[in-house]
Amino acid sequence: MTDPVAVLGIGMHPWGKWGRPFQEYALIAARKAVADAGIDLSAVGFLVAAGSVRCGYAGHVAAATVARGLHLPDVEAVTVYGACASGAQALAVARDRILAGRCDVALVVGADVAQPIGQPPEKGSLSGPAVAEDAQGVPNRAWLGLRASRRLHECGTTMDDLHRVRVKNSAHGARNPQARFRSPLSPREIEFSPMVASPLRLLHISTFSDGAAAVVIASEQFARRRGEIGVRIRSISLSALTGDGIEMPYLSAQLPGAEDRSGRAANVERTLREGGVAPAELSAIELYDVSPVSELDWYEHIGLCAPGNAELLSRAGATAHGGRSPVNVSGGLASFGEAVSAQALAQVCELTRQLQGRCGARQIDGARSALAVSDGMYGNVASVLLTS
Amino acid sequence: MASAASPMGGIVRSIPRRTGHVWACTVLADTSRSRVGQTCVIAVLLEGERQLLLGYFDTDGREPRIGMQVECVADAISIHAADDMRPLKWREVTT
Repeated sequence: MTDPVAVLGIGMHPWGKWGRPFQEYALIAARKAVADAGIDLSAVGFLVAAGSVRCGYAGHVAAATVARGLHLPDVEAVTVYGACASGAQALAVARDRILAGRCDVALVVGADVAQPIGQPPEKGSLSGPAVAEDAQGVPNRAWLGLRASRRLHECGTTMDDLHRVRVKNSAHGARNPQARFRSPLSPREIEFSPMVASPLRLLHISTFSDGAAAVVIASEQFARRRGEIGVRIRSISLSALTGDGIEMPYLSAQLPGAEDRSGRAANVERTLREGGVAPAELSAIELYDVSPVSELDWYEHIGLCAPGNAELLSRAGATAHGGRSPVNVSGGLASFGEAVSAQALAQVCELTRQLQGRCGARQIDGARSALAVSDGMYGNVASVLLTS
Repeated sequence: MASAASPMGGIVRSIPRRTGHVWACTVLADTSRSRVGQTCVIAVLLEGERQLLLGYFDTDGREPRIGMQVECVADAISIHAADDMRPLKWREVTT
């Protein structure tokens, strides 16, 4: 089992569509995290930042942009990007640096801006196969619709099953002051929202947001010297899946979904095994609910139930707040919209609050272990295990 | 497989195979692209394929379903290039 690293502090810029440069969000989140950690910025020995192509050139060199904004002229810094798993990849790089003994304290920042939905990318900024629309000529939601159609066919999933997941997450989000969308939804509201990509309607699919999240992590020794006995990161797994199935921007019907599913399951299995935690022992799970089908698929990848049984788990209320395996108690992507490079870190912020007992009305009683899962284009998948 | 930039900025792809059984399908009602949204674009993944078929919804009465045999009559189609799209036609497998 690998040594843990300590989570000293977390910070977020609110999710929304603010129309400001990504670095403004990043710096606010970073300063909040440093303040939450109770350290001086000068203690930061390593900076990792995740931006994106949506943030312009400053986002391509996100770590340098953040370092300059924080006035950290001599800090060692790295920029990462791995689609929706960017934040987790950034966290993994920082964790490895600490475990290698190269620094005691690292600051990890992710920030992004929303790309207007349905708009073609700005000329020159997103050329080549950088986004699914360029690579295949169809928008992301086509993939979500295709995957949904296949799950409905294979598993007997009903539209009520899809509505239930979204209703659950909106009810969770209504209790979270950090969430962008805080109105509980009824099945009827979802059922009568505009069709986007059959069988998925507008309120089934998460949107995009501006936002930023930051986490300060430290070596076990540093944390103990400060008397910190709080949240620990036990393990992280990163994958770049190349399997068959509906995998944005690639797809294949040759091996119906089998390989990409096992790749996701293997990723989580590595993380839980390294951390010594079984799926049934997880107190809280934050996962990628870009559509209700994505969430149902992930119940099975994580091992909360057997393949094909996710709907039964959901119908029993097991994944709602108060259930035996609460999922997306933050409200999930459905209630936030995705700030791509920040979202995996936002999950870690939420789970840290849960493990610290700081979640107020959405607090999970006795939360001891928590899993964050991110899942993005080009098979970028990551999972992070935290314990208290 | 040939591809080229379309007049509308998307990519037009030649479809190597035009008939087969539907493995997954979705009807795109994308209101942000009015020309496309008004006509209902359908995306179909055929069994054994790695390339989507994209085209107009052929209103002969039924949406294609998984397992149904479809026939694409387009030479080159793209969601960005509404002018280039042709109807997808399909017929139900009776065997």
